[in-house]
Amino acid sequence: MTDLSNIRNFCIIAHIDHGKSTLADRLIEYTGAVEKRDMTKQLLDQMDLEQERGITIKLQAVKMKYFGDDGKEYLLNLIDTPGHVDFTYEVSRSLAACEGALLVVDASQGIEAQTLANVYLALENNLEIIPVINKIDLPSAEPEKVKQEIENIIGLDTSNAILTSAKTGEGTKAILEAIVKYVPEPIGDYEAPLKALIFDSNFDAYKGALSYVRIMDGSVKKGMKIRMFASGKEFEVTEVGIFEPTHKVVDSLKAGEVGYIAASIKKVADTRVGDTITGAANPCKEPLEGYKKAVPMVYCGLYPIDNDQYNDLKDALEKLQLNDASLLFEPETSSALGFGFRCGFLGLLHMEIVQERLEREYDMTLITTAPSVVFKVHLTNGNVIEIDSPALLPDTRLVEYLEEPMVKASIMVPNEYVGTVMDLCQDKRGVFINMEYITPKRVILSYKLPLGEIIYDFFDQLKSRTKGYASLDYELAGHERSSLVKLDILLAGEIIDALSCIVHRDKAYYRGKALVSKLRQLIPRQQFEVPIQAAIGTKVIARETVKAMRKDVLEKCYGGDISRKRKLLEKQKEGKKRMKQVGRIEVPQEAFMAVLSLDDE
Amino acid sequence: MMNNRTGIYVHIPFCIKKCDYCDFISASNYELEDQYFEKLITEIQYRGNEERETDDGNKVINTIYFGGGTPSSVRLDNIRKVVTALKEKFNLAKLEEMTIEVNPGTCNNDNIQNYYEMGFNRLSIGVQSFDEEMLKRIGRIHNRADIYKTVDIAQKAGFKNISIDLMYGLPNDSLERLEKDLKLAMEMNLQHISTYGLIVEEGTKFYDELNEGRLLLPEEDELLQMRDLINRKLFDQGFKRYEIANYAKAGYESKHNLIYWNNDDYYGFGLNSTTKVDDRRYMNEPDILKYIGSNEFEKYNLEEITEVMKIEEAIFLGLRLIEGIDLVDYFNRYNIDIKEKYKKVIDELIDIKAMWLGDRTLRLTDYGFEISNYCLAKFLS
Repeated sequence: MTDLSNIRNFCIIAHIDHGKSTLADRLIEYTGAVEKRDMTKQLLDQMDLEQERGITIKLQAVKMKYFGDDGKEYLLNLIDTPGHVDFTYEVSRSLAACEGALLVVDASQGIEAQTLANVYLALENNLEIIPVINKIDLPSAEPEKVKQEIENIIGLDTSNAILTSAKTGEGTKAILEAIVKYVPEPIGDYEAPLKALIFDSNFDAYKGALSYVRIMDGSVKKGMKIRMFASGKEFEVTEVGIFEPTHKVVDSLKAGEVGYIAASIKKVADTRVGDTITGAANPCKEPLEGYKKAVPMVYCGLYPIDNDQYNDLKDALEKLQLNDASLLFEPETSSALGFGFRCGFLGLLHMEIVQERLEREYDMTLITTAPSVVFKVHLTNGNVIEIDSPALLPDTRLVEYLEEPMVKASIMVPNEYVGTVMDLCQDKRGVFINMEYITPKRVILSYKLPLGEIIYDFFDQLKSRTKGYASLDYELAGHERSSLVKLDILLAGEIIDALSCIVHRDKAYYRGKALVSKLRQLIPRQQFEVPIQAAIGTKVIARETVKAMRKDVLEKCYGGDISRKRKLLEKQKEGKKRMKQVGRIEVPQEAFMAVLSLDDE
Repeated sequence: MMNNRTGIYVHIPFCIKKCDYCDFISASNYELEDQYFEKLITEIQYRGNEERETDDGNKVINTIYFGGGTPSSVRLDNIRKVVTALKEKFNLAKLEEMTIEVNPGTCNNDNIQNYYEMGFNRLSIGVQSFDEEMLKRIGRIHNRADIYKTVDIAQKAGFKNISIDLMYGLPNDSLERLEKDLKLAMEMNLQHISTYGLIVEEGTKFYDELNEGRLLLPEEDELLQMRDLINRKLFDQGFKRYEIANYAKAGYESKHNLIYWNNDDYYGFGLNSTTKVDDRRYMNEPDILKYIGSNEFEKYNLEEITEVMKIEEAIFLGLRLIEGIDLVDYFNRYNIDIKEKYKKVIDELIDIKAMWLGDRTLRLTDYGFEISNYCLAKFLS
């Protein structure tokens, strides 16, 4: 039997803002895995976007050396996890590669819905969970209360819970000791055939697609022939390494260890996350239990404002997909917007992030159409089709009925907001399932809700109506028949396919009216009058008009005004660049997302 | 128009009272007057010397314009000193036009006559309206009688080129009110009229009133009718519109302002004035105390005017003129064939009837003027 007693693989589960990345930084700093001078704030969140938004999107891993109080040297592998509901799938991946998890809870906020969901995932994966109460330096910290919450909700023993402040560094050593003491050593056999779980992949311009792996059995080194279990494809290993957290080449990776394998793999698709890597010469018999494929929940159209950028957009999407297997896209044509792509995302945040990365890293100017869920359309001829875009809905005469995706949502909220949250869920066509007091002051509400309602402004509404105290988690709960209609928007008499949406019949009138009025504010005046109409079938349910622009002139322009005038014109010109020419009408980017920001009052 | 013309603008920031719509930098503390003029004259001397040292030496000055503020509200000897300094330091041998802005509430036999004797040959009178109530409403310090008196004195003093400013689109304004103003203006023997629609600028009294809902302004449709009324009434009396806001009897177009619109050169002396000479543009200190207090002549917002800026500015300024841009002159000066370079934009604007293209002329139509920002923005890169 191989001695793996000095290896510990763990991850950190935490709600956004509960201090996970700062805590990780403290651990890395303490163990000296990174020279102090190389420490950037939030080391694990390497993307600019991650650092700016304070979230983790992409998994990272880091290896640390730690001398325990028992005098032994340990190798600790930290695998970072994203904290947002959109990325639950990514979380489950890192959990499978670990034996333990730090459950980090903010000492003044308490446990949140998202954390809870991830803790359950960890428990399903038989991980040892170490409760860590963070931010105890805050005056509002109530660690005892939070401990109580953890015991009540999850049933975890919190007598060993570690009180820490990632900000001041207090408790860092206690955490490291607890990892060594409580997280089980990995079980594995050096001598057995190679068996490695791919928990992530990344594309490197020089080395090709890298597989991020946890070695379960055996070992792997340069020159070895490996086989991907799912595809059967074989590659020769060109390099193996560990995360410090930048890549560092090592001679070999052995059972229990975490690292990466480079094997001149051209496509990320060939190193599918969840697949098992084994040796070509001496393969293992059974693959590891993989993951379910990530299912996109939200779809939207992405179109370049300038049609000439279509190929650039395609290239950019392909490059993003190299590192983001959950991003799906296929070409789509819109009569209003021209050529673009229908893209599938894990959720709204994922969508926003992809959009922002395309604009920032690839310098694209894009139109994003309002997100849609996948509807099941039961046709009169008995066939059932799935559509991810309102534009694909067949003629109503051919449609028997529609089904929309549902979710089971858990909302964790202080009890004084229960009424407000119930009103909101009611508003969003929710069906009450259950209410549970986790402490005398906090409640978990369970509702069945249409996913289509969640992806609109549900989360924003929830946050604003509960002053930010509520947290939300949800999981798909099948499709249900619903009375849905397609709401069309017409500009100057023409249906703009990119503005159509599928809504519940009872809300169609309100949505139509609100959308039309919002569009009237967003669409600038043109050289001619632009009527905006909302229609269901041939019936117009709302109408407003953008009056023609008839006066836009700076009458005074003398010597001192010329620079100012120039700036004014430049601004006007800049505004135009973010407009899409739809027929004769210039429509701003925001108009296509207007449906998302309809004020629900 | 290869030969570059050059103008001088002199800023006199003092006003007895700020008008309710005005966001210009002005001062009502006349205790600073002497200090201000002292600095202004030093500046003129400094810039004059600086200019003499450049390659092309002493430029021929074609026009001088004293604007404000209210130049007629300061002491005559101060104005005289400035004129003297300009004569000393700049080449005024070919000076064609010398304008001073006056407020009817500050004019008398003495100052007007003296302006004429100092060499001013054009008077720009801030009339704004003949309507007594409206004058009060917008915070002017003068009344209708002051206007008549001023014009009368000026004509007797020898001024043969008199311009007035009129405003429209004022609070509770109407076409009737404007028509009366235009009629009264036409009864006087004037040569030039500038007309400005009210713009409510941030930081003005009107801005606050607007936000408090106490400012009732005409709708866009009515504003368009007002401009149309101005065009017709003035045209009937022989005033030709030659720029978006300016009308003149033949030969009386403002030579100084044409320098701006023709993208020629100008010096700006005094607080917050802009200078554009030899493809450089900069501003003077905008704070009066700092302007007076400093021994420096700092250049703010100094920019080198690039080739691209030059050709674009020539377009967006040139298209302010009714006669538009002379394509041949333009080509000779900037080596750009506008018709070819901006074909797409031009076609688009012609299509919506905002632009007109002749053999050697490109100009905006009356409709094009009303939406000129929209049109001109299209020519920027």
